[in-house]
Formats: sequence, C-alpha cells, structure tokens
Amino acid sequence: MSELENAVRTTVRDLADEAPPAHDLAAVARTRGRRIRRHRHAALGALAVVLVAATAMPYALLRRDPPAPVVDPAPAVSPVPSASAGALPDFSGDTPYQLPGGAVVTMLTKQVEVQEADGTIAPGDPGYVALDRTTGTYRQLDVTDPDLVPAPDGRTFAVMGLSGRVDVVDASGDRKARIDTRGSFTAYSGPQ
Amino acid sequence: MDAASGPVEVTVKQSLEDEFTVFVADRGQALLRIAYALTGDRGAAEDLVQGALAKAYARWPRIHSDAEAYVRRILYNDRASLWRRPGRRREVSVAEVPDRAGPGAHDEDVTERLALREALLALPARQRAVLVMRYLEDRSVEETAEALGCRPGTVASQASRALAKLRVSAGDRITELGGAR
Repeated sequence: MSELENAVRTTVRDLADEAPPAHDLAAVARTRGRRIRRHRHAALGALAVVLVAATAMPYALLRRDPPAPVVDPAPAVSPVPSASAGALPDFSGDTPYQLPGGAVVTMLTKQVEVQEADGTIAPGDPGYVALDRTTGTYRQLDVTDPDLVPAPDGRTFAVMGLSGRVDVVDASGDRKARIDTRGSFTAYSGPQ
Repeated sequence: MDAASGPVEVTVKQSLEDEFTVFVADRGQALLRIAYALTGDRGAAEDLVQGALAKAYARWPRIHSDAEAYVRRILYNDRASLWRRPGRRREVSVAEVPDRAGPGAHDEDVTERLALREALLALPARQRAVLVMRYLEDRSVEETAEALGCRPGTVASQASRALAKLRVSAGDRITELGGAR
C-alpha cells in the first residue's frame, strides 16, 4: 500500500471518528418505515384493483346479452356498460376461483393488521394466498416480500432483490434460483 | 387467517420488533460513522442512516438475517443516487472551517491531513463511497463491487481516479507522498 493510500486511510477514519452519537435512530426509522409500508400497500392495493378490473371487465362485457334489434324510433340505451351484469361468485379457498370467461385467479394479497407493543393496531406485512394446482385449494404462502410476481404455473415466484437481482422462490420462501440482471440478462444460476 | 393464529402473529411481530431495536442499538453508531465519512455533515449523515434503517424496517421480515449488509448497501446507493439528482451541489459545506496550521513538522502533518480531507469531501459520491469501503471498512475490491452493484473493474478504476484526484486536488504535499499501486 502506498503512502497516499495510508494517508487516505487515516483521513477517512479521522472523519468517521467525528460522527455524531446515535440518538433515537430506531424510533425515527420505525416511523419512516411504517410510512414506506403504507405507501407500498396502497400502491399494491391499487394495482390489484386495476388488474382485477382489467381482467374481469372484458368477460363481463362479453357475457352481456346481445342488444335488442333496433326499431324505429331507437330506444334510449345507457352509453356506459355496467360490469355488474356479470356478477362474480363469492370467493372460497376450497376451489379455484374462476372469473367470467374461464380465467382462474392464481394469487391474492391479504392485508393483515398486527398489534404493536404499545397496543396500537398497525398494518402488517402483506400476506399472500396462492392457488395450489395440485390440490385445487388456496393456501397462505410463507413469503412476506411485497414485490412478488407469481409464475404462470403458480409454483414459483419472482422477488425483486437488490442490485438488479431477481430471486426465484417457492411457496416456502426457499430460493430456487437467482437471476443477475446487471448489464445483461444472460447470467443465470440455479437448476435448469 | 383464522382467529387462533392472532396471538402467534403478534408474538412473531414483537420478536421482529425487538430484533430491529437490538440491531439499531448494536450497529447504529457504526452505520453513522460510515454515513458521516460519506457525507461529511452531521445532519446529512443522520438522515442517510435513518432513511436506510427505515427501508430495512419496512422489509425487516425478509432481510433481518442479513440486515447489516442490506443497510450498508442502501447507505452507499442512496448517497450515490442522491448525488445524481439534478441541482445537487458537488461541494460539501463544513460546519467549522479549520484554521490552516503554521510551519513546523506537526503543523505540516495537520495541514496535509486537512488538505486531504477537503479533497476527499470534494470527490464525487461514487468515488468517495469506493474509498470509504476500501479504507474505512477494509473491504476488498470484490466486496465493494458487490455492495455498490457494479463490476470489480469499475471499483478499481473509480479508486484509481479518486486517488489521482486527491493527488491533484490536495496539492504538492500529497503529491510528495507518492501514488497508488
């Protein structure tokens, strides 16, 4: 190591020694962290509503009865079609939930509330309920990461990680593969 | 979730809360040292650490087993991304302007360190982050690249450029110390 590097090392450590004492870091971090969670949950909820609406709307519209033959004078019709014409069935975890048109819901987010140490109720981490295609029933995943995308077969899930990495995990949260997206999409590790 | 799982969930949640509190108590000061070396400013350092801890808290159930590495990566990357935003100043304000030392061996040493410190704080955030990881935390090139999300070659070139800038910016006294290998 050169003398310049030694001098840099000393300078950096002198600078770090001047750091202020840590006060209330945990309390402030909790407050800001809960805000981040709330924003994330709100964004997820909005996304879920949009996805369900986008999925269900075309089927609901297609199921509507064909319009009556036009007679003269033409009867007044509502310009805005209503999605309520194709009412969705109640959700049950015992059978695959089928949307009008045959699409099956493979995963749902589940909001839970938890009790803090001081007794207050706060939003917890989002829970996930996924369809187990082998049994045809829904089950709670042992995965809490909010940035979760299910594979088409419902067996594995993509989790966005740090530094451009994507982890592929199963329903138990065990990592099955890691994809490094830094620079290119060619680097891949895990079972083929 | 059925009603019977409620108390279990509360217990797990409390356990994670306690774990977070212990982590911050144990490692908060070390993280603050890194943040201060990155920013050179008390307020900015505290804000940087609190922001990184907040992100860690929001994902704590997933990252708690490797929390320190996660928070460190957030610290370095947040600092670098903050610096990239338009309108950010490249210079760092110092709360107290240190007096220049007069002649003498000790004074020359102090002057040299002050010059080096000023030059260090004027480096781009990415280059300073590389130097802090390499010389404060004694991280290898590979570990630094891992934390910063770049390639080892990038770390080596950033370190080399940073040291070259320090030699030029800090003036003749630093130049006399010689160059990096």
